[in-house]
Amino acid sequence: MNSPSEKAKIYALCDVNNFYVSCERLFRPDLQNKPVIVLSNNDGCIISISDEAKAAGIKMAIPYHEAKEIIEQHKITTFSSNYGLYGDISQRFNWVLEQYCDQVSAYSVDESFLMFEGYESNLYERAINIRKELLRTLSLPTCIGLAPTKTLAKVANHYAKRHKTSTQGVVDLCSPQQRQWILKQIPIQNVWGIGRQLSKKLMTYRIHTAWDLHNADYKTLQRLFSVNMERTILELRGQPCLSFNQLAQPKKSILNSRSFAKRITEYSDLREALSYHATRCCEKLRKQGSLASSISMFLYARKHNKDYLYRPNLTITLPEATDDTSIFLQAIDKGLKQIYLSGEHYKKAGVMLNGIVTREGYQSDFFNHIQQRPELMQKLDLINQRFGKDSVKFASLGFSKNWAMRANHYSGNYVGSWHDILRLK
Amino acid sequence: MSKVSILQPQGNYSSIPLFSGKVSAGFPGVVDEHMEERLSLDQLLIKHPATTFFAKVDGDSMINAGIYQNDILVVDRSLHAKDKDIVVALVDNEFTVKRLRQRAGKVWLQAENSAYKDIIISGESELIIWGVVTGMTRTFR
Repeated sequence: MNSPSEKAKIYALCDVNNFYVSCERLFRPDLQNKPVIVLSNNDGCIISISDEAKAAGIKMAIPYHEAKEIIEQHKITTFSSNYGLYGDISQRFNWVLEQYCDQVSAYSVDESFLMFEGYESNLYERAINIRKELLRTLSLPTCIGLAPTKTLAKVANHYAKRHKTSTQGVVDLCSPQQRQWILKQIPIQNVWGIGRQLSKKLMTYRIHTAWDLHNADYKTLQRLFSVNMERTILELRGQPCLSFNQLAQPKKSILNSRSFAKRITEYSDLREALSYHATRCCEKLRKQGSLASSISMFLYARKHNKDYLYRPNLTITLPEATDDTSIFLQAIDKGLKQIYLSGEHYKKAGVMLNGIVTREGYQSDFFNHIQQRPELMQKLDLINQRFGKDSVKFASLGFSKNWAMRANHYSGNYVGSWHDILRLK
Repeated sequence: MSKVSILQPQGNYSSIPLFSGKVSAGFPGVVDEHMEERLSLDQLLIKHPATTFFAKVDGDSMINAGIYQNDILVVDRSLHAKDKDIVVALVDNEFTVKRLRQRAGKVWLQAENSAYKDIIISGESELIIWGVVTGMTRTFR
């Protein structure tokens, strides 16, 4: 048996197949084995495709309207994106992984690294179990790559995803003997950290596969490229160079923006849209226990048939950091008056909060003290959590929603709103 | 008559958490560090947060089990269903809540209301158990 030595560190990369589609299927088990797609914000492009939809000829990132014919012909179920739901399922995905491994580090919404220390053997069995459990308890189909470095774990995962049936979704590259055969089948552009540009240049040095790169002289390539290239080569050889990156940083800026379903010209509609974005940003801010001290608002307008762009951007710095929505709404009122031009056709608006500090231990400036109402904010968040988004809101959020985004296929937030939870007969 | 025993939350009944230690006026930040834990219904109802979901009852097929229209069920997907568990199952592509019965190699779903027939799971039909109902909650006003 090719078990790693006792104190070796083994990395696993666990990644959910067609994540957004899989999240929707969790609450729609009737869609198992049926073609499903998920659209981007505003129902713009196709951003997640089930294997069945792929087989029907749907391609990633194409505009929704271009695919309508295939969608109707193959009866493909279509969903608008539901990021509230996907975020929740992503968190649950990591919680389940933590039951199997002390050290889990989320790499993106649908993939996480696990680090096993001092395991003698049978990580393969463990990976098979993790996979089964994620499928059983969260309906999430996954692939897992095992290896002594993160780069090799990525390679293993990639191979598992391409050969789901023959590998059962788990590929173990812990022993060097298995590596050659698989690395030879991985094109160079699919190696972690090698983009399209780098792979073009590497091909001029006759490096076409991961195995070619594995065998390359890393000192020469470091001179020709960078220290990152050297690291990638060593990682492919099984020498860990990348740290596990234990902690996820709290967000340093919080952004909310959106394109309008139709062009907007009115001041009041823009004010409503910006207020909406600021409200969402403040909710995120309070959720992570932070305060922000500046707010930027931006608009995006384009004149018909001309290359003329109007993209104003204005930042207001507050006398002190806060998480009080009403203070940011006042700032929007002030700021929008300065950047709004009548007669423009606005396409997009957004808000970004910066200067973010943790609430804990924040020293308020006595002389610049602004009236804050943390209890009110807390109650607002609670009520909205219980009765749905914006049950209670500030008047500037308005009621017309002329600017609301297109989401004609929204499935409902099964985990974030009492109104939307599953119904059982 | 059924007996009801009341669980007293720590301290007194109020929406304000119980504090221990001194509270200095003017420095509200100090208070947070001395906050003690309160009873939480989440803690009572949810054993496995990663795999627990809520669902709402729409119908009267389980009234004899004390499950009524609009009750909120707590569904744990990590548990393996066994005989007599109340489960969320998928029947004819629709979610349903019923009691799972397994005896002598037979499997069926039982309603808790004589107006409903058992749903027998025969050789051809596949039973998908989505989760096991572990708790329930209801509000009166």
